[in-house]
Amino acid sequence: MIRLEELTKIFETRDGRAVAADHVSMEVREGEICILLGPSGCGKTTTLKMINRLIPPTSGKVFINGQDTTDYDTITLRRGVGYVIQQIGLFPNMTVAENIGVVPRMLGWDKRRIDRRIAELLEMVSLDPAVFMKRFPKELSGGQQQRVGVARALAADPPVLLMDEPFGAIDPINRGLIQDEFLKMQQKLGKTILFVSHDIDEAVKMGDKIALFSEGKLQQFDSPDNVLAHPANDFVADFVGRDRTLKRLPLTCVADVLETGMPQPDAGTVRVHVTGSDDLRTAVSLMFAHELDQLPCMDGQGRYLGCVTLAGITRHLGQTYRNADDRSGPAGGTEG
Amino acid sequence: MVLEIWLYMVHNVDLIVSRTIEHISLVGVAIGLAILTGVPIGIAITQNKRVASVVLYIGAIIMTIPSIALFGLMIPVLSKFGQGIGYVPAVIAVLLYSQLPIIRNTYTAITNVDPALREAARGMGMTPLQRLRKVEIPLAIPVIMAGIRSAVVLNIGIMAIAAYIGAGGLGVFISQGISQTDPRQLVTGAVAVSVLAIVADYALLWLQRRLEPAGLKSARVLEGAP
Repeated sequence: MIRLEELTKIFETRDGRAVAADHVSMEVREGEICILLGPSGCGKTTTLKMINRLIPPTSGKVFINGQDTTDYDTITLRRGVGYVIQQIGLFPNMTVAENIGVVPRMLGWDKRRIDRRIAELLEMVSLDPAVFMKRFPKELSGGQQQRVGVARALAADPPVLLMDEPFGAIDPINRGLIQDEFLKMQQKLGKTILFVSHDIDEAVKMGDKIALFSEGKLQQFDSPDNVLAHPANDFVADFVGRDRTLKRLPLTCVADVLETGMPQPDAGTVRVHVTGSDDLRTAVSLMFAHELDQLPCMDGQGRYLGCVTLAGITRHLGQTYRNADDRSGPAGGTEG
Repeated sequence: MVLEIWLYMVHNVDLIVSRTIEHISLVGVAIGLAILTGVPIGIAITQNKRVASVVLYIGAIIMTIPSIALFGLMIPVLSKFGQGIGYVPAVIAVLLYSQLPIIRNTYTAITNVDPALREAARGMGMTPLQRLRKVEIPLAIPVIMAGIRSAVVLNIGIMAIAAYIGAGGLGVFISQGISQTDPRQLVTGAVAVSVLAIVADYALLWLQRRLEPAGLKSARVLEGAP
């Protein structure tokens, strides 16, 4: 659990005071990924770096698992918090194994425990320890380097991980891959993660929560679906875009909108199908491609489970807007 | 003429060897001390840009003092300690002349370490000393070594002039060659100094490659390679 309380950073520049983070308060629950999102210069990176005090806060507090982090000295705090940066920052003079072992060595682990941990971590990030342990960072591709960067941050098993645009420098294909792998890993690890990004799609994909920043202020802190469906203000609405309802499609899987009562469409006319774990974006894309308004859903054995329909998806996505209308009364409502 | 010089060299091999050893030990001691002072100074001044520019400026001024003048300047000062001429002023002069290349290369190498590496190291909880020992110095070694190499080559030449203040070494051949108008000694001294400089340069290049961290080798930069 990470709690930020009125966290503020004011830089004294030649042109006067610049407020980089303005009374930021939020709480990320244990095991959640919170994406700090916003355009460059919005304060998201400053906020992240105040957590491990790479940037000392002007005022405000950071609590990790209820403990005020100013109780720790800076070095102890940083060794207990994983840190991944966009430029990766693997030490070129050290092998992959040595890079991963940096924090455990500083913490005084014995050599056998470190070696075991290194092998375990490399396997976790899908790199064969036998092949990669002795390699130098120069001998790895960008994606492999960032996998090692993530492994290094996880080395001492810190409860909290700070990631500063970790996948920003990786090509789009590998980025998608490494994002998926990371999410799978996170399901097992359950770390509390703060993750800086400027990409709304990445935020929707990776985040349990999104914290949207602008001009040093936290504009909205909510689940991706709520940020997309109910932007708190014009800035947020602008940032997530007018097609924001489409961006909600990947957040729901077919199983959630399945209409089990529907008869199976004729296999001769409908040749495509989805599975329950496919997301709605995939389903809608298939419908558009094949000029269909409903798709059969099959399980792994090819058994028919029900249908996903365009009307059902519309109803599902629209529900949250209807509820908001009910709450705010007929005069209010969300702008489209 | 060439034959005469050759015969002189052959007949005086023992003398050449002993003066070469003397020369090497003079330069060696001076460079050793220069590394012990220059590398820490070079690291220390990375903390403050203004101090760095002052220190590098002083180093550059020292380099512009002609060596013969520096020896002359030191005679009255060191005479107070009974060391006006000979070994001590020779070592001090070379020590001073070595400071600029060693300090400058150390400073440049440390400040050129990728800021991302420094941030990663900081973020992982390395202390400033650990960052220096485990990251910054290993990465700076090739450039620091290049500075030491240029200091050695430069000062093998300067040490030859120290013969005039009675420091010994290969410069004795040259100074006696001039005073006795004996080209045999003069050429012998000059050739020996040149050969020593070239051999030292290659030996240090070899050492530099040995000391270079394995992970950097594919991106080798041959500063000052002959």
